[in-house]
Amino acid sequence: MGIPRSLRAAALIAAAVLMGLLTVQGSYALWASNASATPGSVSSATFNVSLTGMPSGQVTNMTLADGQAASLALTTQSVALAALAPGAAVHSSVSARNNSDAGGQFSISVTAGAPAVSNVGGGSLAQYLTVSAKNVATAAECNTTTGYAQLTTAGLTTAAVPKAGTTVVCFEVKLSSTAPSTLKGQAVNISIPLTASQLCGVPSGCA
Amino acid sequence: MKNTALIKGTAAIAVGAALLLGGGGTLASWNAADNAAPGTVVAGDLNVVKSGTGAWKDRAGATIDIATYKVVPGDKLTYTQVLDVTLTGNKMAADITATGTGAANGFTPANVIVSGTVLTVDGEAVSNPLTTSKTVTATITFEFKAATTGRADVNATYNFGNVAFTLQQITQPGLA
Repeated sequence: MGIPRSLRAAALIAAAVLMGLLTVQGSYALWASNASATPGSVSSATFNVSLTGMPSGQVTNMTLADGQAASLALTTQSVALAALAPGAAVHSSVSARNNSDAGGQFSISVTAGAPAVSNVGGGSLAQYLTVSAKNVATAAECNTTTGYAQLTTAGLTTAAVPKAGTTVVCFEVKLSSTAPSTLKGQAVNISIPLTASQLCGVPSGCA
Repeated sequence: MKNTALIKGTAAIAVGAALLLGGGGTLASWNAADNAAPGTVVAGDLNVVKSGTGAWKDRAGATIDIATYKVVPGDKLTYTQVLDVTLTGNKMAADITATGTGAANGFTPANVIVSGTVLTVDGEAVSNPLTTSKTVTATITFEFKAATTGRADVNATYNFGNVAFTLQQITQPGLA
């Protein structure tokens, strides 16, 4: 006739149980032991450089909270530089502090790029001005005229600034002694780009 | 008729039982006894445990606290965890493996190089299976590439999650 229904059901159940046992048998076979470790999390540092402009006294982080580059005024209307006379110079400075919370070595250098000098109100003062810079330890040294070099496209790069260290870049603006008297009362805007870069701390070099 | 067969069967059983009872007389003959000592069967051992807590070191080999250390481009950190592996048994053999779970990478993948867990014995890569007790060293390296540009990945976090070490006995010839 055929295999009774109950027998067929029993055979199916037996087959299912057998297959189930076969699939999990690996976890029962032989001895096994486990240990686990939690290495934790690696966190990266901040790259935070704070700038202080003199004589304005303004303070800002180089990078703003929204990731944009900050703009720092070294002079303001209330704290202006002395008036220039032909052959004379005025000085200002910016100090940069390396505020990184890096765990290891993290030195930076700050580079002042070529200045952009633009006349205010259609004057022609810009062409008679030279902008120079030097890297010193304290802002007080800016008033000594030695050590200044004209800022070119190569820019001025400071010495290494370690964590929590500060460096000062002095700027000197000099009016040519050949400046004509027609320039009297004119003004310029001077913009100097500053860039902070991490210095390689790897003994074998950073390729 | 049926009663006759029942009576015959009962009689036959009775006769057989009587014969068996009569056989008891053989106990009176020679016999001898001796003892054997099979000894004691002792089980081996298989175990893997951490030997102390794992430690992170920087590129220079100085120990750092990973909870407070902040990496910058150019950093290369190494995590080391020593494991004591116990293997006892004449036919003992086991494979040790490491499996990482739950890792979460908050860095730009192109800016970091994170190794898998490397297992070594005496500075040489582990060659499974192990047959005797060993000290196994598990190592993970994390490198923040010096080629990282701009301010990429400041304040990022890489969570290594859990690393599980499994010591699994394997079948040797002679074991079923």
